[in-house]
Amino acid sequence: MKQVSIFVLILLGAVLLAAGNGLPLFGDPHAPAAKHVSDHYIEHAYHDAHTPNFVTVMIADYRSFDTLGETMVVFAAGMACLLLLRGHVRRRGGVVLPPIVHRDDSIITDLVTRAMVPVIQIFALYVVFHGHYSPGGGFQGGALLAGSVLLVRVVLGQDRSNPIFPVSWGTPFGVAGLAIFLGVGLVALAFGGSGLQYDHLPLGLEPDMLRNWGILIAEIGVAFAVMGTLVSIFDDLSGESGEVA
Amino acid sequence: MIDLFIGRWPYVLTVVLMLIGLYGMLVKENFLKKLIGMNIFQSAIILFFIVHAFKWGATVPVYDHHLGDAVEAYINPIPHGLMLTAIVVSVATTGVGLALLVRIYRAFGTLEEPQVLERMQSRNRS
Repeated sequence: MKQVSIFVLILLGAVLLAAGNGLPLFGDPHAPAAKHVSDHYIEHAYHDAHTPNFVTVMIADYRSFDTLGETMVVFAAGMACLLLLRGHVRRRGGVVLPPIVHRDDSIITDLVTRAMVPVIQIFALYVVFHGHYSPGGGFQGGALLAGSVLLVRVVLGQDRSNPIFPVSWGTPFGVAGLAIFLGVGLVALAFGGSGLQYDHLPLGLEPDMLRNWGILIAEIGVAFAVMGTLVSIFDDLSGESGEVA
Repeated sequence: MIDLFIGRWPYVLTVVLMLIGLYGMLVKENFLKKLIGMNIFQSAIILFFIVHAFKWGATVPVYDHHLGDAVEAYINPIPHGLMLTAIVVSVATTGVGLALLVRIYRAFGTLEEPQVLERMQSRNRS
């Protein structure tokens, strides 16, 4: 069986390498992938949305439906973890896993964590709000926020991390983020645009500034959704939510 | 063949990475190792897209007043946007995979594929 697998792998590698000859040269500015849509985004993004970062404009404005779908996929994955794991231990028998998170009595890790978490969170907020002007945005900032909460969970243990970010908050944060993102789309829809068309938001600004603000609101929603979902996945996996459910 | 290694060597690296991931998924018998293989496979796909975004002599896709609207001065923003969402989605799907592994471990007490199959069969017989 193993020999068959390796033979298949070698065959697949040969086919892929042979097909690789047909791909454009590495770094070719005239490759098909770098034409048409890409050119349009680069030429229009700054003037359409008053936002220098093309990637931010692309994911939160031009392709915001795609991003909404991705956020929903992340949230659905969180829900899948919740349904698979939460409250399952007590209902049926089976092997009970030891808890992943222990309270560790090391003063060094405690102090370092408590010093680092605010810094991580400020940096995360910077990544979210400065995503218009530099690499960053809701996904990265949300992942950093989740990382700060997970650091507290792992180092300080269940008892002392619960007052900071209760286990029961993960899913509501995810829902709130998704609601912010959907809400800005629906408001644009209600004021005469199509869904997520930010230049119809009722804020009384020029269209390009409206799109700038719409992108910011959408990114905040994404950050909340990603943060809540990742924390809730971790809580489900580490079994901390088993007692709560 | 030599063109492949001179002008397109990043594709070779992504193919190698993808094969490593696929090897893990096919050959390893521990489910956790299979999941790690799947993650390596995802990384290969993400790198493949990022390789396509690159242009020689171009800079990051952030508007610069000195460069203006010159298309060839910025790398392609589309793969970057697509992959940054894909990375977060891959983290979330890995979470689902780990949740499934926790359930398998609770049910069978092991993550080794042959032992899980054996225990499933012995349960069906009894």
